[in-house]
Amino acid sequence: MGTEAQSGQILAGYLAPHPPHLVYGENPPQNEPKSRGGWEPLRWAYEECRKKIKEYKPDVILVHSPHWQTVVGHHITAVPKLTGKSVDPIFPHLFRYNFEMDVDTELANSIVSHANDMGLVAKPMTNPNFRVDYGTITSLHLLNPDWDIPVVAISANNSPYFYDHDTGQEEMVKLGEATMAAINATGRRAILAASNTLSHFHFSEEPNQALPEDMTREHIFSQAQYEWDVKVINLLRAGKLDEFFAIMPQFMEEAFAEIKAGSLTWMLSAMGMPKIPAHLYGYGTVIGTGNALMEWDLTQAKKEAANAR
Amino acid sequence: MLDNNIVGLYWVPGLPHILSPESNKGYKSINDGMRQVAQSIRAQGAERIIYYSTAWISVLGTSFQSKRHLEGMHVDENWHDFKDLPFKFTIDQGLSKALQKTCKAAGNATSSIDFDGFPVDTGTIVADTLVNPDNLETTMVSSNVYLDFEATCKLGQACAAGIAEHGKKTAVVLVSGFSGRFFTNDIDLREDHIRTPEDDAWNKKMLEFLQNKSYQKFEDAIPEFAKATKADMGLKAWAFGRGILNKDISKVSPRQHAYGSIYGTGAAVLEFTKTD
Repeated sequence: MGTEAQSGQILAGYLAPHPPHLVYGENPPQNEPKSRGGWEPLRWAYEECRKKIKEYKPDVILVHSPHWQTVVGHHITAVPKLTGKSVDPIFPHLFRYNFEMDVDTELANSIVSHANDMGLVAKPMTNPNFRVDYGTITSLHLLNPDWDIPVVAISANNSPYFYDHDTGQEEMVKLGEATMAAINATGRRAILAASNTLSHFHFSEEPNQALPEDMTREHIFSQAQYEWDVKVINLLRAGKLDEFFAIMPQFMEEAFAEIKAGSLTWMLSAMGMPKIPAHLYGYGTVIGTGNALMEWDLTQAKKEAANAR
Repeated sequence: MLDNNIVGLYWVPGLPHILSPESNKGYKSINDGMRQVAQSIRAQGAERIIYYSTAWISVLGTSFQSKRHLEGMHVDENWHDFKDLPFKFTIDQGLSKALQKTCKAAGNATSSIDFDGFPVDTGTIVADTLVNPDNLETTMVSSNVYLDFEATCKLGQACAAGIAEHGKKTAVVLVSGFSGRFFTNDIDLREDHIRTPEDDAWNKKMLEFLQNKSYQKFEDAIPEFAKATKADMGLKAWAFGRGILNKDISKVSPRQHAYGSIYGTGAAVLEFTKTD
């Protein structure tokens, strides 16, 4: 952990989608169902990304997941250790994961405190029997399957759905600012993860129920959805955040984009809305949805800015 | 009892606050109402309970709980600081199979859920705690988000056929609220109330339709009600219940055991049983 206050740093942020199929395809010991593989391009992308995360030597990984949806405020895991089995209620035949994670409670409580100071409703989740959602676990596993880095999980307050787009995204911007302030205050070297798929229309039945990893049946839900994903990825790769935010409401509407839950907005806000090119590790579809693993390397950007000076 | 082994349809809320009747008079009233449902289920001679909870959402067809024994401690994702919820279900696997068979025959995509550790939803656990003190065997049907009102109604009809085929007296319990406008901040539970007077008026109007057996008016008003009050899953639970009752709806008498608020939302405890 960092020792000096006011020396915190966000090393990098990742758009880290969470289809449980990717864990199922990998066959880690923690997951009960076993597969013949599948969705390799996305899984290889995550493998590349893992190496980079290890090189950063972060103190903590923070993840914001749409599958921990809360009604009353933003909730942050703040219990030192969480263990148990998490079964995906949608894909229980693919994801039954025995999880064990160490939580950075000091940082978690600091986020709560900063969020409350900014006028948000936020609360610590201190129940040790809490079952962590599959979105949180999948993103964290795919980024760091060794689970040797403490984590903080943040719920997706349902304000984007309960109220409206603007209200919801404003909440996420503030939550990002509170997160950044807490990282600074606690001196952490942090990695952020926005656990979001891009386009989110999916098949309403598994194409091959006998073999979920049948890659001959995997493809994007629609051409329109694919074109939306490409458009968004290209804007992010070009660092054009203003243009991205301008089209975001339409993207959410037309492609049922999961970023509506606010994870990406939270992360970009915490990073200070960096207008740097995001690196695309990979893109792939899972049961029809569009998934991109992307990185905002703030460490490298900082170096380049220093060299330029 | 109706002719198809269905002893009655019940509609109850599923938020955990009602397990703490000491917190609020309204919670106590709802809690008492659910205990009256338990008595009715017993008096009607039910041997099985089917739960249809709007908090169990599925997207790959409709799911049917099939794990013989489900036991554990549940923590709600939102109300994790309120109380842990112990649960113990014995599933009637034969009934699950029968329901799945008739639903599949009616053109529905179905799946059987038989996994240790599957997260039973808060609503079903809360309902079972209060309406099933005799530990009757149960099963659960998921709320498929892609089925609209009409398709959900047909699903209910197919389940009714499955109940008839299975041959045991069965109570069907819908677990769902009415108006869905939660308070989005911390409140003093002693002061809980329906969040807006408009929502309250809407709930009462809808309940009056049911009390008067004006089912068509009730259903016609659902779209407007849902939009105005953020109704729980667009009041889709009723579509399932309507399908369960189907042509027998004229034979049942509605009874309202309770109405009140849970964290700003509207909650009612209703019974639809045959009165000879």
